[in-house]
Amino acid sequence: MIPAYNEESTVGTVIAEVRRACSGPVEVVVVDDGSDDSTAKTAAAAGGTVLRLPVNLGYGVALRLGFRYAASRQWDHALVLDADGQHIATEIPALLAACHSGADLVLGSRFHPDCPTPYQVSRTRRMAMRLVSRVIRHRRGVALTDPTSGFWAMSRPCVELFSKELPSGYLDNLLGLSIAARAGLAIKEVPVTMAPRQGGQPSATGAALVFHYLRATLAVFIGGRS
Amino acid sequence: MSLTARIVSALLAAVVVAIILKLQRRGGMGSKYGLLWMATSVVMLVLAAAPDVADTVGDWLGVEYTPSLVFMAALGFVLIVLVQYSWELSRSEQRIQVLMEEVALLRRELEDLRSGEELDDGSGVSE
Repeated sequence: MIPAYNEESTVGTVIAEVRRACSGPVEVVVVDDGSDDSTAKTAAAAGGTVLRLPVNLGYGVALRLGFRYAASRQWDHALVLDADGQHIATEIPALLAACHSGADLVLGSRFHPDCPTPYQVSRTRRMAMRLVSRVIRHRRGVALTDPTSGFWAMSRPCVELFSKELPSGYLDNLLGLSIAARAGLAIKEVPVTMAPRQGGQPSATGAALVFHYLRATLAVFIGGRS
Repeated sequence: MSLTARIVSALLAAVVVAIILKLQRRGGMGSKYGLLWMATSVVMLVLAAAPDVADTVGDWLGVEYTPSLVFMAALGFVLIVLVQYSWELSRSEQRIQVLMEEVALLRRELEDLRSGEELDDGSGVSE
């Protein structure tokens, strides 16, 4: 499942790579979050199932829509990755393998100790991530190195949980983790490498990013909805 | 309070009443909020016409400087209304999101049905 907002330049390639990386029956769903460009058309031409939100509602809503679709189609496993080519499709089998070996939710971590070259982020972002990790560990007893990862795989119980309960803000995959941990699902991290963004624009930068981090962290801490 | 001050504040309250009435009649403001603001403007009118009311309430509550009581009450009221708006806004936002998700899912289903029909036509199979 690929949430996408104005990613016409990369979404087609990502779909093709996902298909190449997966053996067996696989449905590639692109959630087009009200793009102004031809993301939906490109994705459909590349053989993706396109779910189109009429207006731009943000990453969280796109995710939840994807999970609702996955739950209604009774997928055994769902995997989420970015449309900008930052996540490497050849790593999908590793995430799915972790799912098969008993984890309900598998996160691709860019900062896992087993990563050959840890991903570089700005100091502000690193500090924010540390704070978030700490809050999650404190509140839910799950130690994670990369809780904001957008590269994750999950089993059906987790898909069903998220289709109903995922809050809808940006970075609310954090809250998703918190909800999954509270529901007693097994969460695991797998090391991944991250390619540079191939195209498109980041969802949030600067002050907006700080705001989203604060909001999501507070929400995890309080334990409510966003 | 001087007569001029009374007249000015009474006029102000009257303008608020007029605006609320107009919004309710033509602006599409819901009666829930209409009632809230009508009640508010009536209180404003009363206070403008008879400022002694505020003094009486102030004496009764043991507040020395009555205007501060009026300000405090107004501030508290505005705060409560704003919090209620935040809550209502979040709820509307959530409902819109769910609605949009539903629209996207329905559109997918519709498109699937349509393409299915086209395939049926092509193969010449009919019921």
